[in-house]
Amino acid sequence: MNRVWIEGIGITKFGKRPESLSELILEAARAAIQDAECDEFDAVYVGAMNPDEFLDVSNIASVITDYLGLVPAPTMRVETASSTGAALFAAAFHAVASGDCGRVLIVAGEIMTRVSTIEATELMSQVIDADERRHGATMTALAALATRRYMVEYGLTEEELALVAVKNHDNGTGNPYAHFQKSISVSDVLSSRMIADPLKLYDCSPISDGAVAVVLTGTPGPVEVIGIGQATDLVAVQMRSSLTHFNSTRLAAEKAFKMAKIRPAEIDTAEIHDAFTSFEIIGSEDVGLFPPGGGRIALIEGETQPRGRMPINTSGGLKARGHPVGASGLAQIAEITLQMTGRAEYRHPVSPRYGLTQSVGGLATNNLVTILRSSF
Amino acid sequence: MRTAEAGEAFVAPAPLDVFKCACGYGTALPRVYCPRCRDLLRASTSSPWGAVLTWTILHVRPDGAREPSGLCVVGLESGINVMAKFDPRSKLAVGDRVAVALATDGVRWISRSAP
Repeated sequence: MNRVWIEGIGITKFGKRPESLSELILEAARAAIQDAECDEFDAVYVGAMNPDEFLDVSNIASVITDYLGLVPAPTMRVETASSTGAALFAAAFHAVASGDCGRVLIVAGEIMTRVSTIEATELMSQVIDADERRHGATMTALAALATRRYMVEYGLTEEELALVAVKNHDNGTGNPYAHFQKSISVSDVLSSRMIADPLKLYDCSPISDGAVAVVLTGTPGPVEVIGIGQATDLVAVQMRSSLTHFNSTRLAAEKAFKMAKIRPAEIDTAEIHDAFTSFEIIGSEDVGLFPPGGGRIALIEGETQPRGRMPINTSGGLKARGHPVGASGLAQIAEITLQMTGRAEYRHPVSPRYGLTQSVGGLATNNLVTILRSSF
Repeated sequence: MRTAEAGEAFVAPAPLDVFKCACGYGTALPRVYCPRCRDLLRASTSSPWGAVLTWTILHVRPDGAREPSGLCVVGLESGINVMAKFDPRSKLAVGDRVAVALATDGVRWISRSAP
C-alpha cells in the first residue's frame, strides 16, 4: 500500500444548526479546502447515517458532490451507523493507498434536530436487533446493561462514572466547535434525569447537528495515517460472549496497531467514542490502553485527564463536542489532527506524536480504530 | 410476579425453543449459522431457568409510554443468554435465580424468582 497523509481539515460548530445538511457540509468542506490549499479531487466520499429519514433526502452523495461544485468527481456514500465518519475515512484511505486516487475529499455530516427527541431516539433504535427492539431496547438501555455488568465485575460506581462527563465537559470548554462549552459537576450528573438505570441524561452525548471535512492525499503532509482497523460483532447483545467488552473494538485495534507497527503504550492521546460515559472506560480497555478494569482505575486516578499519563477526549469527546452520528468518527480524526498541527484551542490541548481514535457503530456492531502520526 | 398486559396470555415457564450448535453455542434468536464455528444451528430446547446477568429500568421509552419498563439479560442453565422484560416494581438483582417465560406475542418475560 502507498502511504497516506491528511492535508487539511474543516469542522463546523456542533449543536442546533439552522442550515441544511448541504450548507453545513459546504461550510466544513470550504474550511478543509482552504486548509489543504487545493480544490482538485479524484473522488468525494460522503458520510451521513440517515439523511433519508432525518431529512427526507436521498441520493445524498450525488447531491453533496453537486452542491460542492465538484461534479464530475466520482462519489459514494458510506454508512456504518454511528461509526460512519470513521468507516468513510477508511474507504477513502484505501482509495488513496491503492494508488488509484491522488487526493480525495471526505465529508461527513448529520442534521438530527429537525425531528423531536422521541423521533430521533426511535430512528437511532433502528440499529438495534429486531428481537431486542421488540423487548423495548433502546441504545441507552443496551448501554445501561453493559454498564451495570461492568459495575458488577469491576466495582465501578455511579459517582466514578460521572467523572467521565465532568472531565469531558471541562475539556470541551474552549473548544470552539463543541456543542457544550460549559463545565459540570459530579452532582450535576448524578441529579440529572434517569434515562435507563444507571445511565442518566448527563451520561449520554447530546443529539447534535454538525459536519466535518478532511482532505487525504498520497503526497507527504503534516499528519500521516499509519493504521486503520475495522471489525464487526453480533448485532444482538444477548448473543455475545461478553457484555462488558466489545470484540469489534478489540479486533479493530489489533489490526490498526499491526498496520501501524507500534504498541498501545506509544499512543499519546486517544479520542474514544463516549456516546455514553461507560463507553469511554470500556473503549479505553478494548483498544489496549489499559487492561480489563484498568480503564476505571486510570479514570479515578486522573491518568486520562489532559495532564495525565494517557489523556482521553481532550477535545471534549462526543459528550461535550456533540454527536451528529454520521460525522463523529471523522470529527475525532480532525481533533487529533488539530492537536498535531498545534491549532487546537481547547482548554488543555496536547501535542501528540501518535494519536488514536476509536469509533463505535450501533451497539459496537461495526467499530473502527484509526492511528495517526504527526510528521513534525 | 408480573401481571399480563391487556390482550396477552401469560404462559408459565416451560422449556424455551432455542437454536443450538454441535460446538455448544446456543441462542434463542432465529439464525442460520453458529457465530462461534459457522456450522448450521439446529432447533432445540433449553431450561427456562437461569441467573440475572444484568438489568436496567427504562424511564424514557421508545414508544413514549410513561411507566418505566424493565429489561434484563439472563444466563440460562443451558449456557444460553436471553434478553427478557421484567416488571420494574419487582426488584431484580444481578445473580437472582429466575425463569424466563414466553408470552403469546413472542415477548420473553421474567416470570418468577426461585423461593
